[in-house]
Amino acid sequence: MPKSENRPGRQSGYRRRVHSTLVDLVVRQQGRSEENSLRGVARTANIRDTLEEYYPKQGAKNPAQAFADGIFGNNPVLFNALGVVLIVGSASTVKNASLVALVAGLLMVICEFCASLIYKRLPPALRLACYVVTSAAVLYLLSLFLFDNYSAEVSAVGIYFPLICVTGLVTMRAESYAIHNTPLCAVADALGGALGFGAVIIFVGALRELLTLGTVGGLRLGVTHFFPSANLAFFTFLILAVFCAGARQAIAVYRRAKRRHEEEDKEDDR
Amino acid sequence: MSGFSQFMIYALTLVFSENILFSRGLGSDVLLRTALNPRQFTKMGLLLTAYTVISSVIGWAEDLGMNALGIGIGSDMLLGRALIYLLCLTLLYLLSDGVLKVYFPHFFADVAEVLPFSIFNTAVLGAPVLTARMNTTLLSGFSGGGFLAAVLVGLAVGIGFMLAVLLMAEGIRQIESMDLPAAFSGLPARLLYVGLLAMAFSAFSGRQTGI
Repeated sequence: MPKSENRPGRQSGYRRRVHSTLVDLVVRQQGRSEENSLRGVARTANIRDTLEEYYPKQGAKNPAQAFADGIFGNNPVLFNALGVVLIVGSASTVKNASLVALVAGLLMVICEFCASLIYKRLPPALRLACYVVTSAAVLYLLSLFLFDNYSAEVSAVGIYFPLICVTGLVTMRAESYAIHNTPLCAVADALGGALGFGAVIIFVGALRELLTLGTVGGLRLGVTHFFPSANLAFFTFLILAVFCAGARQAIAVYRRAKRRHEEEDKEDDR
Repeated sequence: MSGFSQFMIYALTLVFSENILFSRGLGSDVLLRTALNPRQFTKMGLLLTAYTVISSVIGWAEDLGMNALGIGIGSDMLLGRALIYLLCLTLLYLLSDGVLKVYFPHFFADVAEVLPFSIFNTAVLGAPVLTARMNTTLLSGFSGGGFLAAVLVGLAVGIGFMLAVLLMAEGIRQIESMDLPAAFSGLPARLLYVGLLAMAFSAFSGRQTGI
């Protein structure tokens, strides 16, 4: 390496941050073990993501915890990026969003139940094909009812309606959680996940409807200034990013408060 | 303007201004998750392009069959067609998995992680559905024949996705070397990055309202 690159002024931003973090660690935290220091460097310099938040292989073992995790702690959209395409494409109004949320929820419950009960005995390639075929069959049966009663909403959702079968909401959730757990836990996880997904998609749908049409669920709210570009894909990505960051921060604060509370309880016991 | 020039303009539109990821979000869920391992990007992009081409050809064959039977394109038929594409893709997946495992085990070991999500994703299924909906007249009027047109549309969609994948890979490399607030590191930063790129791409198309 040339000498000039060793000078802090010539180093890239990334290297400078890692260097300053290391110096901080050595000066301020000399008492720490080597392992902890390395972990601190990685965390501070943001070298790696928190990978454990993705693909939760085992997850909660009890149904109530699995249900709660599906809504908050392991929300499919905000923590696993599942179903983002449905939110981007179909959540233009509350009605469309509710329809997609209901159909996706039903497919999730059926697929996770089947995965936990039967499909977990199959080889992985066949298992994935089974999820897709099952969800396609259920969607076809549902569409017979939906086209008779909600044809306008289904037409408004358009090409995104059949795409529900192949989103990770159905396949990933079944593959990462349902096959490792009992049918009851799998159904609880699917219901929680469906509610979590539904909450996010309906909220985004309401926001987009309000900004583009001035209504929420068809009710006019007296908004006079509109933002038609809210119906474009970029708006949803940006809004989801903010939700996602907010949810992570909220959970981090909750966990910190819970840990502090537990520590205080322990000290009181002593 | 000749049919070929018109078609090439349409293909360029699919790559840039109507890029399926940035204008419609198709494939975004897979891309955001695969973003965990940027080394998988290239493999996944190439596989996805290949499967998009195959899926477009399947779509073309199915449209040909259904038009011969006199079945039109309504919303209900769109769903029926999409479900048939889906079944064809499932068969294709099982076939690919079996053939690669037996005849090309080294290649299979390389791509095993990304193979399922290169086929079962919204981009591969969405491309032929979108094409069937938007563009049947252009396909039938193309001088090279519907088959060639379907191949080119599939290729254009796949290349558009590859472009998105490369932009994401570079962006993620930059993002991971930044000192972001803890709440924004990881998925939120990626979503912001995709959102900003999508905003830039929507400026290409000049669209101001709805998907």
